[in-house]
Amino acid sequence: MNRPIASGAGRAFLPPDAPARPAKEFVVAVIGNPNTGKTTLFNALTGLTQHTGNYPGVTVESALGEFRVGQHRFHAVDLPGSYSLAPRAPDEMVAVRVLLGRGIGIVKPDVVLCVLDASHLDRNLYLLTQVLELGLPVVVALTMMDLAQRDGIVIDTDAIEQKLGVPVVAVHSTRRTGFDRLRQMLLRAAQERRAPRRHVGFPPGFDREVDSLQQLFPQNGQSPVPRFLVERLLADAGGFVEDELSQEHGESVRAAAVAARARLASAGTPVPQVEVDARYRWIGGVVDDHVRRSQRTDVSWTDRIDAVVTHKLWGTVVFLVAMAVTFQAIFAWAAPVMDLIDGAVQQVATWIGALMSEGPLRSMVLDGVIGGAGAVLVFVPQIAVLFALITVLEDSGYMARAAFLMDRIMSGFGLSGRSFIPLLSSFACAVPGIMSARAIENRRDRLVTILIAPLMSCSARLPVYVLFISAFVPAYAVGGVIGLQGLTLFGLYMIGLIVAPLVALVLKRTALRGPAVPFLLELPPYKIPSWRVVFFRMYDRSWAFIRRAGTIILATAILIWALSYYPRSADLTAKYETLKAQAPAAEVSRLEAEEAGEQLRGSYLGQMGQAVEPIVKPLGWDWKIGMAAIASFPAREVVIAALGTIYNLGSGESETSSELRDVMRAQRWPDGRPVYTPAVALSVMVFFALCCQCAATLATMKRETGSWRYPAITFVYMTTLAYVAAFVVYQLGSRMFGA
Amino acid sequence: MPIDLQTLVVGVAVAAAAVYVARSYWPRKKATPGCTSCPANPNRRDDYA
Repeated sequence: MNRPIASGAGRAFLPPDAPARPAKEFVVAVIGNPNTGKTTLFNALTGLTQHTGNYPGVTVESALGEFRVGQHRFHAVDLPGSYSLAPRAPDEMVAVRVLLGRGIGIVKPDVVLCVLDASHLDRNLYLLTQVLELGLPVVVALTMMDLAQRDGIVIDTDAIEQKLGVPVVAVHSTRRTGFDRLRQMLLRAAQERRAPRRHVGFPPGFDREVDSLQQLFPQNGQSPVPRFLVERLLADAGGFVEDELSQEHGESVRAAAVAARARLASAGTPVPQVEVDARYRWIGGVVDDHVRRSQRTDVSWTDRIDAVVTHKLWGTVVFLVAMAVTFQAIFAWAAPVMDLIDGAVQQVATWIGALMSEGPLRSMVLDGVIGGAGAVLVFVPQIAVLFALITVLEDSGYMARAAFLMDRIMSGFGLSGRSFIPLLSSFACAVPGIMSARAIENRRDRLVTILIAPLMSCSARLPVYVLFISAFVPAYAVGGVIGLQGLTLFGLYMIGLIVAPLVALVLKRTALRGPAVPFLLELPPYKIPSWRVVFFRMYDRSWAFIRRAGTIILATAILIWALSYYPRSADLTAKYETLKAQAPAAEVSRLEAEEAGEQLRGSYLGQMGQAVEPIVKPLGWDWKIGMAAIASFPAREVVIAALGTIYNLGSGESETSSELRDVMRAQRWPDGRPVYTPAVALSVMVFFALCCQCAATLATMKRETGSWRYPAITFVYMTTLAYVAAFVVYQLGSRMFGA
Repeated sequence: MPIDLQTLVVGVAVAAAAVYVARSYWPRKKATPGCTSCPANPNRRDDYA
């Protein structure tokens, strides 16, 4: 009978009521460190039969697949890449649950396939020593043999097989070599069901404490606690096993584990050091006896490049130059397409203006839809260039080096290096950034990361920056090399990178105090980026931006238009009709603009704006900028749509909608001073760099933390920070550049 | 006073926009069956935060 091992996302590994498997069917769990070629091997084994499964207990997606060995069918599950079986993150706990067959619907595997990277054998053996203690048959697959050979590493696989007591098979996934033997070994191991022997011994004191803790759990209940879990309970202070067993069997379990750890520490064998020492001592013996390393005469290109890009000083210089060039390219490469789109949007406005008769619908289409949401579309080329360049940096392998550099800085602020990856994602959008913080095992670090992720300059801020920079920052090259516009953009992105660690430092020293957790980061070899990957990422992000312009931005622009258009004063209209009838032709357009300005001031938005003007005036803003900033709460890009709508309505010339940049430059205070000075432009940009005007981010925070408390704290602290910074920038800027 | 066609269309568009924006503040939760720790599950039991 062919039954699915899992039937799609959200289903259990096997249905709880499933009958026993026929003898010819086996379950193999594939485990290994990240970047060992585990998934490539899994795909090579299962061919096209794999699909994505979702484990009970936590949303960690893993591939499930099938393959045959003769008459026997293997159901394979690709577990998340993991450096050890000491579960500190949800995905690592899933691996442990599956391997132990713990949890409703999870079937214990018949055999474990442990994938080891031959070029980093010592580190990979750490996980294997733990897997060998599970009591399950194990087969080892050695991958990356060619890389090991290139690096002058010679592994005596036969001798290692003897030493480990389990089959060791060297495989090459792309050339498909070693697979026949691997399948045969898996079949034999699954049929013989022989548990491997344990290799790593711990001090007697540790074993005694494990024995004593084991007494806390009933051994013949529905879900007995295996010795492996009790060892993890003792060795992993504050880990997932401690939490789970304490929840299941009472807080006395935690107290007993804490007391046992204290006794071990006072006996000079503290955890986790005792485990790490014991395992690496054994691994050192295996590697010394069976792995030969010839003196390498050549240094790889990756090593040569890394010597510079991961260097404390030169690495930082390379990082700053790479970022500055990226931001300058955003202006230089996107400008021609941006002008084309701008021209097209204005052309459409002219056509529609000519077709429709005067009235509220015409105003809504021209001032709200085209002048507002249409103004946002102009920035699609910038988004495309930004993501193309970010993808090139990621795919080439450079971003991992940037993470390495940043980790060094972040750990100085008490922040886990693991936080860098969610923060890096937040440069695209804070929503996936906050979601990827799930992989951070430490609760406090996870919360700190979630709270600071929105400080990273997401792609929604880019259009705001570009609008103000292109309107108010001159396009000349500093020192004849790097453009001032690109440098300003770079500076704005750096604000988040500088402020986020400072906020983290405050949080880690106050409400979320806790030690920094070490971070293991693998640096992949450099490669030429795949243009296919670059194109699809660029397309995907640009399309997402266009969709936002057509949905939430469009809807908000229509609401802003309505609030700026109504109520219409009939008295004002009548007054200006009379004035225009009596005035000479040259005066009519001035009177029209005056009428539009008065109507706007009398609108709902105008009334609200004048009420908030005293609050935004210290930032150098008029009420229109203030209202646009407030209206951008659903999404930051809305500020552009709001300014476009407000200025179009206020000019009274909607049928000749001109470029937003020019309209902004033409804005004047009642005394004739320009509204926008360089100091005001900087103040607005700094406000948007630090504020939390994004409903989706706050909603995601609520979902991830399970409480409105954290989004509320984030909104209040970021808005306060943004206001104070904008105030300081305006006050300093107006003294430097003139008010 | 009869409402002219332009005002009627504008009224419908503004109401639709208001509903859309309001809904965006309350995203729908999609709970995954069997997922006790998934953040999208309102009945989750884990220690995610």
